[in-house]
Amino acid sequence: MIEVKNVVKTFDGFTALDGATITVPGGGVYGLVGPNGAGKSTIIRHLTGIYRPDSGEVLVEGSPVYESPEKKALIASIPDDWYAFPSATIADMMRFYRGFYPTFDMARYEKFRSVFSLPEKALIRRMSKGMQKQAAFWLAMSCRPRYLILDEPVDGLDPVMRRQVWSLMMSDVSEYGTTVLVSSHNLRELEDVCDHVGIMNKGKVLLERSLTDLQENIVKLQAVWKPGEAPVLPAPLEVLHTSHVGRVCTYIVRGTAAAVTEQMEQFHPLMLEALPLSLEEIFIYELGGEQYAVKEILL
Amino acid sequence: MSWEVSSMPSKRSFFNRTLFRRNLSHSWPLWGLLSAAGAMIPLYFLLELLNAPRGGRIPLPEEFAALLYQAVTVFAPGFTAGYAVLCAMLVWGYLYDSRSTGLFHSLPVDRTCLFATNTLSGLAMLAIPYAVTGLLSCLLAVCWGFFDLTAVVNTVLAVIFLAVTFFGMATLCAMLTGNIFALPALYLLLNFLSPILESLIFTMAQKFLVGIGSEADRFTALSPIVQIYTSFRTHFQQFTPGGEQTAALRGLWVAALYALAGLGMLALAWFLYQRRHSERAGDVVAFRWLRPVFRYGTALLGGLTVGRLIYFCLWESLFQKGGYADILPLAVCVALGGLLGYYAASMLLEKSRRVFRGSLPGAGIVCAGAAVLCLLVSMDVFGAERRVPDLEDVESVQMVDRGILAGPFTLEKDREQVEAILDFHQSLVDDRAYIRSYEPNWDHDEGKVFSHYISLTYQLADGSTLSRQYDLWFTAERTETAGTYENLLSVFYEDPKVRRCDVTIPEDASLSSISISSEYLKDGAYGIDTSDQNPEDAKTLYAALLRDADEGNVPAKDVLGNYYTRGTDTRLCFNVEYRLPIDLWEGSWNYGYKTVYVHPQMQHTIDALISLGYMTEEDAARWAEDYTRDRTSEPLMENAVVYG
Repeated sequence: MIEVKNVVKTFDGFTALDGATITVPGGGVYGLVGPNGAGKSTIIRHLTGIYRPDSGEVLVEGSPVYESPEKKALIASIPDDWYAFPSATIADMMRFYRGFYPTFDMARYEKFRSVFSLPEKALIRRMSKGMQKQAAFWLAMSCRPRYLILDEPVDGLDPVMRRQVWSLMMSDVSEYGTTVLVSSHNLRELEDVCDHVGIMNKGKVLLERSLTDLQENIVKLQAVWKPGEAPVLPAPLEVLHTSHVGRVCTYIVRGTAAAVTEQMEQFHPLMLEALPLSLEEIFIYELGGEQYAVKEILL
Repeated sequence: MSWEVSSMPSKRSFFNRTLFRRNLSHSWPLWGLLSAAGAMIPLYFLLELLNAPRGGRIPLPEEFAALLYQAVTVFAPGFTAGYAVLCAMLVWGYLYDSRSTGLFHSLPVDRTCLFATNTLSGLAMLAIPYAVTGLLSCLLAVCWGFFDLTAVVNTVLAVIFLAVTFFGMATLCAMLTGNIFALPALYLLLNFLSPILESLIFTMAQKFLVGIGSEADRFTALSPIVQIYTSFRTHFQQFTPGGEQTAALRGLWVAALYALAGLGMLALAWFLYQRRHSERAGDVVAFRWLRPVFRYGTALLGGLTVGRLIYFCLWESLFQKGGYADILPLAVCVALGGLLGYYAASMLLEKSRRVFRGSLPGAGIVCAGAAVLCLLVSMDVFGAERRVPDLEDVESVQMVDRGILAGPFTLEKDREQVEAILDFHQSLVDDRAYIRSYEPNWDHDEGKVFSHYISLTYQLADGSTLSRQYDLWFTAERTETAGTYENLLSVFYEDPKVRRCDVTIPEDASLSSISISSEYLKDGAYGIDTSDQNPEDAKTLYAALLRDADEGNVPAKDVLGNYYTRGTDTRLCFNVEYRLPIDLWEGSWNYGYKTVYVHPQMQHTIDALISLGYMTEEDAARWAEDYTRDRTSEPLMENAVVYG
């Protein structure tokens, strides 16, 4: 399990993390989402032992990860700006990683050769961004990490390779109980793989739940009212967003589908339907309350 | 797969083989090239040795030792200083880029392991070229029988000491900086900061204070490269009384002390590395507390360099009267230079040109600092201008007036002369306001004032040295007034012991030869060297000089004379060469020279020249007549023209 407790990190007066707290349960996929500058990459750099928190704790299996070779040996990470030595090939980087990670699995590395089909003797810096990303996956997964920490992992990969990579990770999760923490803006993709989601904004974690809980606790209602009879919804209903298209009103309301539908029935709509929200919609409407709503821009 | 096996707590490691190997393989072009270049030296000697049967000579072990010592004293300090910073840039380069810092600091090793491995890698890179060159040279020496184990051990120690010193310093710089270009800049600055700063401050003090020199050698211990070059010496004696050659390495302990300091710097660097934030990659300085140091340090250097330049261009060359600075314009210029430094440093720190908003307090501090600095220096708060040592504190003193040395006079043997020099020095201090303000009026004073550049150097009883330099004007009126510095110097020059000193060589020196130059020599020869004639002649001539000195025939120096204006036609000049029994350098004796201008009243010397056949009596008489008639420098040349 990974725990980040009240971590504060400032850079020359700018607060990048402002008491961030997350708990990543073991053996699942945790999606860290948030707008640009929310502090996702900063939290990941804390988790991989690169940054030392100004205050708070970053714990892996109960003990701090910073300056702990034992804990860091359990973690492999692929940052958004993955680095390989300028004159290094994949084979060189493999030897480098193998010298540091006691769990580096050569057989696995050999097995992945056919999956990634990358030129092992070519300079990594001459490869395309997508190929570099594949190389990073190849090496990171060959380390057989207990914790895989990924920042925008499939950015730059083609659709086939994306699916391939996710499939490899999922098999590690199910087979070895690997814990994956992934930060991404591709919510559609995260929705398919995440068990838990943490939403960050302005250095804070706004909410953190299992995806099921999250989806069950917010509902999209579509209602049709008689002309001129659209009611003002009462206060107990926490409406996050309202929109109208013709006579169809769409409400984003916090609460379970059953409870919210029951309350809405009291206003006798002509038609009422409760729909589940996608992760992307949850993200947009949750952040709407944090002054991060999509602005209607007229050009 | 069993996680339990892979996550067993491992023993703490201080070294990572993979990183070490990677560092060396990454940098092989550098150390490979240098090793190849180093291997050329033994190769050259091999070819020479192979040529030995055809006239070449197999060296002696002492010569081999001397060669090794020369390599470590002359070549190694500079080379190691330069190469160490390159090695540090190679092993610590990852700290200057956020991506590479991220990779290294996320690896399952702690910073102590990274530090130890990188330090060993850097030292190994430094050692490889030396090892290749040294091993090949030793192999050669063993094969041809001129191997000297002591010399090899000393050389190896010296190289280790130098490597630790300079790599330690470069590593400390690497930890303090966050930018790859800032590392060599800081390293260079730290190596020369003390002489540079000292020289700049003394140059500024010279602009206000009378007698202050600009030599910057008081704190050279803070500048390893300067101090090592000063203290690290080869002693090679080719011509010993016993006919044997000896070679020794002097100052190895100095290198050892710096190596200890290098270890200290490595320890400090390790301490800083533990506290260094990865996010500082790319910044000029790696710690927040260093930012004001960098900002105000650059301001100080800017004030002392650019500020002085601005003052010189805009004030000194246009408006300043006399040789001493006007405090207000100088303070303004120093403040301007300081502000330039301050804002340049701020731009580098912020990586932006928008540094002016909110900078008023800092700029105010710089301006106030410039004013305070100029005020403190001009007020002579440390009493440097007024300092005259007490008689009992002086061990010896020497004076150089217009390039002519008087002394050294020791308190033990020449108490009166030391007292006279102290009185003269005190009069300079008492007259400092006059010295500072006096400026000749060339409309009236042409030919009536004479400039002297006088330097006084005291060896004090506590082992320290005190030196003062004065640019002075001498007038006839003040020379006749008792108690003035002009009068005191004139009286000092009349002292028979001082006059004798003008023609004698140092007590511990042995006479080598005398070369005579004049247009009045026998057979029209312009120059004669006694070593080409009869070496005994030098002794005869020197004995004659001493007799003239003893009988008071050597005239006193005229403080109102100008030695340089006498026409060369009537000069009769001795160049007395002597040998000093001091440390020998690079196999040659250390020689000294004293120039003696003969005056017609030095009759014993003239007689010796005639008796040795270097001059005829007619030529001597003609010379004395022409010398007296020579009006080139009249009325200034009526007295002595003897100096050395």
